[in-house]
Amino acid sequence: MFDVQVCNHEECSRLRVFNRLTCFEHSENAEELQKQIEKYLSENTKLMGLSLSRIRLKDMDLSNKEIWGCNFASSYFENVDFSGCTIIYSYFDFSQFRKCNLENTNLRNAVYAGSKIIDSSFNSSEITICNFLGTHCVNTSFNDCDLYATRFINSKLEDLQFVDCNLKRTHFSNSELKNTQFKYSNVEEAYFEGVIESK
Amino acid sequence: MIFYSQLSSIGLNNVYLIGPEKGGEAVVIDPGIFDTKLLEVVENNHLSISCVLITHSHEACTSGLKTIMKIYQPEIYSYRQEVLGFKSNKVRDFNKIKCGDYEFEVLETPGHTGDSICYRLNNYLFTGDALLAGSIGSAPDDFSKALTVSSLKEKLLIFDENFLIFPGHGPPSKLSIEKKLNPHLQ
Repeated sequence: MFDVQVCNHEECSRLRVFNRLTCFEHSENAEELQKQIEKYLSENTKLMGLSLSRIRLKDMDLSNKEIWGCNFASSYFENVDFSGCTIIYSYFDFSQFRKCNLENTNLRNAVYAGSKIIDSSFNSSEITICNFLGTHCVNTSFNDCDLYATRFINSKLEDLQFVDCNLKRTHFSNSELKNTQFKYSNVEEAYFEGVIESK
Repeated sequence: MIFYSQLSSIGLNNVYLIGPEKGGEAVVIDPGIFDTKLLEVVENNHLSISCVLITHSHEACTSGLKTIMKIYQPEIYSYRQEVLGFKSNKVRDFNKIKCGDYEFEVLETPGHTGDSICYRLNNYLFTGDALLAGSIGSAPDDFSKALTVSSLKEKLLIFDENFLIFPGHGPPSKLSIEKKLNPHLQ
């Protein structure tokens, strides 16, 4: 699991970048650090215990990686390909995902809470026991997914598709659903208490 | 550090295993089950279970204890002095438990059950059924529910927002997430 160590800079409470003493903002050469990290992410298949909160990644191929115990909280991902990744015990909370491909992924105990997920796809993925609390998802598809015990509590889901999904023990409680489809999915085994639904 | 979790078939509880990468003394938290898969993780990593921590005495958190006690001779820690007929070290608020390389702090969070406790290991919180991602454990009445909420606010929400939460059921979380998004803690 990643180290939770705070930036060395005075009065900064952000987390350090792994193998560094400061966060991104307080590194001496943030641009160079960003390049080094992008290189590291591209070259390594197994990404274990990395703390990279507040990173910005655009147009990157991270497909088929094994991401274990990493921290990408409060990050920004645009047009990033995570397809085929196995992501376990990793934190992507309060992040933004735009046009990202998360198809055919295996997500277990992964955390996306508080994130904004726009124009992305999780189709044909195993998304079990994951945390999507308070996410704002727009125009994103979860078709053909196993969402066993995953929690979308307090989320805002707009123009989403959950077609042919396993929803056993999936929590949507207190969420706002707008134009969200559950065709061929076992909705009777999911939790929908307090859901506000609109077309 | 080896950090491993397994979903127990009894009560769909998360069983956590923590041990040093070099091998040695390991800790199991809430062994709802102890099957060959978990045994293989322990043995293949040259670990030996020296401590078992129980967050509360429901079957979903303790059933695997019978198997563990046949293989290892760990110290058991819980709010009670006996768990499934095995002697347990009775722990109370802010007690420190030394398990191999690790030191856990006990935080009493009654409500779900009278004997509910959480364990803190550095910036990890093992919350049992007291605090779950976006929820709290079921309580028998309104008083117990209010007791859960107040104990969570007093004992857990005081920590840094980057603290990671590993609950007894469901996905992991973070203190910042629960503070902002758990409807029971607003």
